[in-house]
Order: sequence, then structure tokens, then C-alpha cells
Amino acid sequence: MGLELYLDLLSQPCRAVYIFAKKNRIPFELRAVDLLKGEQVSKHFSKLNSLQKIPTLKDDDFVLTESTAILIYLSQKYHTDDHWYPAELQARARVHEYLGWHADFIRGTFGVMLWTKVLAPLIGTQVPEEKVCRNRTAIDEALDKLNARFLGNKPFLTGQQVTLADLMALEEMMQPFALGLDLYEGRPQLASWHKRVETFLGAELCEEAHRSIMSILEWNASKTIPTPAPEAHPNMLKRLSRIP
Amino acid sequence: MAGKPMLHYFNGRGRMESTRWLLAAAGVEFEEKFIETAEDLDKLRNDGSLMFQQVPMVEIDGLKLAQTRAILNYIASKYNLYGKDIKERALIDMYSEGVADLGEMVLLLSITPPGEKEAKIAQIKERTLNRYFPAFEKVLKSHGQDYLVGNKLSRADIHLVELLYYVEELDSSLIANFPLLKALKARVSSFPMVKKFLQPGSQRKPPLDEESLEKARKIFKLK
Repeated sequence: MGLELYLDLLSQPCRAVYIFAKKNRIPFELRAVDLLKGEQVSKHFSKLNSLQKIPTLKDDDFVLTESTAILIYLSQKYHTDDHWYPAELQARARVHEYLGWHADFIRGTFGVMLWTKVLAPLIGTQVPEEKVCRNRTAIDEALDKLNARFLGNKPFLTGQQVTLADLMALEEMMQPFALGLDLYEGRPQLASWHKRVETFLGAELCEEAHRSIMSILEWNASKTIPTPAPEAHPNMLKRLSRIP
Repeated sequence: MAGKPMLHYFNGRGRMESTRWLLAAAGVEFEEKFIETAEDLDKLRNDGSLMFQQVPMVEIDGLKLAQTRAILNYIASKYNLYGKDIKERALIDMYSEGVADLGEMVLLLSITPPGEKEAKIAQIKERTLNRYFPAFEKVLKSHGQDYLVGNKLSRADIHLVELLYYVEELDSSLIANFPLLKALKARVSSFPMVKKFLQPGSQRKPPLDEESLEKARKIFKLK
């Protein structure tokens, strides 16, 4: 049986988990859950995770959801290098400090563009211009805070080394980046940070993990994305309505 | 109306391919008369058909047009692929010339001596990654629209997509971090006329092989 990871690399937290596992050579079985097909709401997947969300981890009989919990679990179980989730009290507290802010101001905000440009049109609807503008402002404000309050003059978000915070943040940045937003215009420090994290993770691993999201506009333009299954629509519409 | 445009060139990409792409994307059927030997070229010269004794030359609408830019300008204007006013045209020109600069480097690769080829390829890759791809990606990012200029297909998009195919032939990984360029390539490639042009058996020309290169050398009396 062993470790199974239920992922779709179009999703930011899924990519963070995937990259973490690969970078640390954690052996796992990849169980692909196709978000565009709505597989996460299928009866089959719902049996595993009634929250109908990915990433989901299954370690023999132990099922765990929530990317942060999964990352911490993997780092402890497989004794990954200390820098990811430092044992030192204050260093660890900084990681949680970032992840807490991340959950409020990055999660949900940085993924909106995929909805406006690709997913909403796929099910025949659209995100109102007002919400699109509001989202862009929210992204801008979050980036300013990320830059000033978290990164500052440090090489990484919480200190001198890469932590889970940088990984989670990087993958959120990839979303609007892949959708054509110039995130780092006028933010050279963040641009350097982005490069630094990718260099640490390795170009090949990043290219592999980012391939689907970086191709999403291409697939959209060549009209090769199939319409999501009807069962997925109610969830998608609910998600769309949650966009402020 | 005169018949279809007639393209005079040898059977290869060279400096005529961008015209073939533009006509194809504009949905214009065209014919080709291939120069096979130096004598064929001489005949065209002696007929007075080539203003500057050079090809490409395109017979179109009663004109015998030489000079690649003149040919492309005419076709773009005729088929509304040149913007709606002089400002849009200026942008289209700027982008097209940028494409042409990188395209020229790729074009000359086929006649670069083998010893210098590797260095030239490295230079092309460097320019692509650090100058040209970021420049065009930035344009697309800046307005978030589907096409480079005026939210409408123009010759700039077609020239750029043609170039993207050549870069892909050189190294398919170069475009990986340019999502908007990838999307543009997919979008233009999916137009019915372009799709047809991209299929085998169309008038699109393959890269120059040894045999065709030899033939071209003889025709144009190159070293």
C-alpha cells in the first residue's frame, strides 16, 4: 500500500506537496484527480475525502487533508532537512506566522484568475468585471505585504533558508503568472526571491511540476479543455460565488 | 480580378516563407513557380520581371512585387492585417521587425559553416530567452488581450507564431516559461486556414536539407 498522494498539478497546494515529496525523494504513488473533469466530487473520491478537496494524503489507512498538514506530516515522518520546518522554536513560529497570513490573504486570492480566464467560461459563465478588478487590487496589496512584511531584505520569506512557507507561496505565485499577470513588475526583490526558490528546488523539477499550469492558456486557446462534467458544475458555481 | 498570387522562389523557406505564412493565414490561395536552376533565375532576370534582379518576387493584382517587406506590407494592407490607424501600424511594424531580426538569425543558420553553427545556435537561444520572448510576452501581459495589437489578429501575430515554430524546431523547451506566447501560438494555429497550412502536404516548406541547400547554392551562386 504505502504512501498515496491524490493530486492535480493545476492546483497550487497540490504542486507544493508534489514538489516537496519529489525534492525530498519521498516515495509515493501519484493518484491523479482531474479537477477539470470534476473527479474530486465523484462518489469514488468522496469516499476517501468527504470534503472533496485535493491534495489528499493516504498513508496506509491514515487519510490526511489540508496541504499544510500534509507538508508538516511528510517533513516529520521522512525526517527531511531541518530548514523546511525548523525545529528551533522561533524559526518554526515564523513559518506558521506566514502560513496563517497566507491562508487569509494569498489562498483564494491568487487562484481567481484561473477562474476568470478559463474555468468560468468553460461552464458558460463569467466573473463580473467588478470582481476581477477587486481581485487585482487584492493581489497587488498582498504582494506588497509579502514583499515588505515577510521577505524584506532576507533571501527567503522567514529567514536565511527555504521553508514550507516559500514553497506554498511560490506555487500560489505560479497561478497568476501562468495566467499572464506581470506579478513582479516593480517588485525586483520578489522577482529575485522567486528565482532563488526555483533555483533551490531545481529547474527540472519546477518545469515538470509547473508544466500543466503553464500550458493552461495554451490548452484554452486551442480549445482542447473538455467541458467539466455536470456533477462538477454546482461546486464550481459555488466557488465562483465566493469570489469577493 | 487577376488570378491567384504567383510566388517566384526556390522550393525552400528562405525569404519567401513569411509571405507563404501570411497568405495562408489570410486565407488566400496562391501558386508557386519554383526556380530549380541558375538558368531559371537568369530567365526571370532577362524577362525584366525582377526589379533588382532578386527574388522573392510575387505577381499579385497586376504587380510584380520584389522586396520581402514590400510584399508583406501589400498583403497585410490588402487583407486588413495591418492595424486600424498609423499608431497601431507603428506597433505592428515594431513587433514585426523584432521578429524579423531573430528570424534573420535563424535563416542564416542554414548557410553558417558547421564549425560556427554551435556558437550561432547558442546565441539565438540566448537572444530568444533574454530578449525576444520576454519582450513579446510583456506586450501580451500588458493588455491581457488575445493578440499583440488592437485586440485583433494582425500580421505581427502571424509573423511571431511562424517564428515560434522555428524556435520550437531549434529547442522546444525555450517557450516553456512564456504562457502567453504558448497561448498565442495555439490560438493562431487553430484557425482553419493555418491548421491546413500546418498539415503535411501543404505549401509550407520544411527546413532545408543538404540536397536543397546544394540546389540553392547553385541557383544563387553562393559559396
